[in-house]
Amino acid sequence: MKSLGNNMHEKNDFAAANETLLWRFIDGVATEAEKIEIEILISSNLQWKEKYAELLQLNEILRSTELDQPSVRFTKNVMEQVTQYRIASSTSGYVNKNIFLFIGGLFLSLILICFVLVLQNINWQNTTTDSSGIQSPVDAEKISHAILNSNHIFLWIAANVILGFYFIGKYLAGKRKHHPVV
Amino acid sequence: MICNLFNNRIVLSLVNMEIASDIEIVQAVLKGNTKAYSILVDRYQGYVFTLALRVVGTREDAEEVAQDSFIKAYRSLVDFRGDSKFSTWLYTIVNRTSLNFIKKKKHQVYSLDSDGVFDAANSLATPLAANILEQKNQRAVIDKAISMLKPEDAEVITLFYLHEQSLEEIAHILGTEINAAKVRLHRARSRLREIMEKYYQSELKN
Repeated sequence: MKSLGNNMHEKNDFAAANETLLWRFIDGVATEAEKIEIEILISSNLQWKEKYAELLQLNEILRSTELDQPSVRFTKNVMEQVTQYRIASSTSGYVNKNIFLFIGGLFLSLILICFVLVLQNINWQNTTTDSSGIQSPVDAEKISHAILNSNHIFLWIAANVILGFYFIGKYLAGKRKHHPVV
Repeated sequence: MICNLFNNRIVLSLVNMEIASDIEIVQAVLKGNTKAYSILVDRYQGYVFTLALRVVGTREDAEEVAQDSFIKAYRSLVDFRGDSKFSTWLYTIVNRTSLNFIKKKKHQVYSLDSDGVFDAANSLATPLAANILEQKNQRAVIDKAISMLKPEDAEVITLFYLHEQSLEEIAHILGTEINAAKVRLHRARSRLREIMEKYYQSELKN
């Protein structure tokens, strides 16, 4: 330990990059080329040799340190508390994939209805001129009017509201079943 | 009689469990053998406590964090799927619990980055330099030096040397990339050397 202190006490300008290399060598993660290079440097260069001895000693001291132990009653305390808890259900169980499928289905059906309405309102024969003077078979005004006043869209919204009420009711009924009101 | 037989069976199964692998014990606990969890607590209490102690600093707090970590691990045991070692998974919980604890407690942690760290250490009831002379004990010196590191530096050194976790596992526990874990380990060792160098100077002066 004393020699480590003396080694550490010596000031040198050993570059941080070289120190990193030496740690890689000590940890056994250096490449073969690095190992050969470091071995040559350690055997030929006094500064490298000293630094290597210093780091190696620190490494050995760190490896020889021991575990601290908690109080004797530790396991008993943990087990006493553990009996008060239940193992939680898997976090993967929290996520119901059907919810994502349902929401995705709603968006897809809305897009599909809009697409059909757009196709229905395109006049392929008569091209109309829009406000910027470009001739096109698509009349944006007519299409937006058709979408906003479409019975299909209203039916879709109504179906969603009914489904929403149905699922909320089902959820609340399930909750009441698990936690009955006393 | 029946009760005795039942108790004997539990004792026997626990004896068998002593030599069982971590994964086998976890499966037994998940099947309802709660007592088997005590084997895992016995097996890892030293590691968990030391890791917590290196981060939070005091034995009382470390014991609280270690207990809390084991309870959290028990409650989320179903999420351990055996993709990594049980110890790696457990240390991830200890890491989070310890860091949350010091965040909550706003613990005063001496680090090399904070100004006057060595002055603060010297003002302790038993100055470190004196301790070194008194104890002449490598472990005490290293423990003192590690306790002066920043919690994350102390943690990475503890995981690498005491818990013998690979750099990949340390990266997983700390939630970083392997290269970041390597840098953190190197930085921690450099800081530890700086601290030791500083206190060896004090010792030489004395």
